[in-house]
Amino acid sequence: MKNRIRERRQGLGLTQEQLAEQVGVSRQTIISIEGGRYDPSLPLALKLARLLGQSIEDLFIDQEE
Amino acid sequence: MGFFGNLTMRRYAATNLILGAMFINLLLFGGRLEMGEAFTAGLATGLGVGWLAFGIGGWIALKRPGRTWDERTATINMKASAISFCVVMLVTALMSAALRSRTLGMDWSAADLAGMLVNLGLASFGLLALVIRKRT
Repeated sequence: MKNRIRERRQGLGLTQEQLAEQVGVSRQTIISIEGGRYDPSLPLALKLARLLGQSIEDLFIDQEE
Repeated sequence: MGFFGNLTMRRYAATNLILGAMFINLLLFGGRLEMGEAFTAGLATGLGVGWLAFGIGGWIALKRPGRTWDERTATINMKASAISFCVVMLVTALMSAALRSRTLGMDWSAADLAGMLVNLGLASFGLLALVIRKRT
């Protein structure tokens, strides 16, 4: 699933390592999510959305719409 | 979440104790089961390596909670396990027919078959986990 995590993260001046640390996953997981290769679970998506200051709907792009 | 997800120091110590007891028992009494020297040595090596892997992996997980074993790793392992299970089941089904065939004349013992299935399960899991990790 496509998402805006990379641009939002970079906008906040966070590195992948820092974001990973704050949501409690590995950096590799953040890389995979940003690349759209891995869809996070709802709890992780909520954590990311909260941390990046956006709603899940704004952060993740539903390609079926 | 997952194998290391709920690991505490108490669980880590208890699991190490169990694995250690199994390993030492095998070293002390494995010979009495007369499974063959090479097999006993292989089994002890496997168990020892497993114990070592758990010891190191568990220690890292305790020091960096939620990082080494996160939901992506759990998903990869779950997918690899599911496909590996199907592969083992398929081969077991095929072998159960093949071993009954007089035309094929496969003279396998139960030990040969069990060993092959264990190796197949481990190898397919490892390979699949590697491939899925690269693609996820």
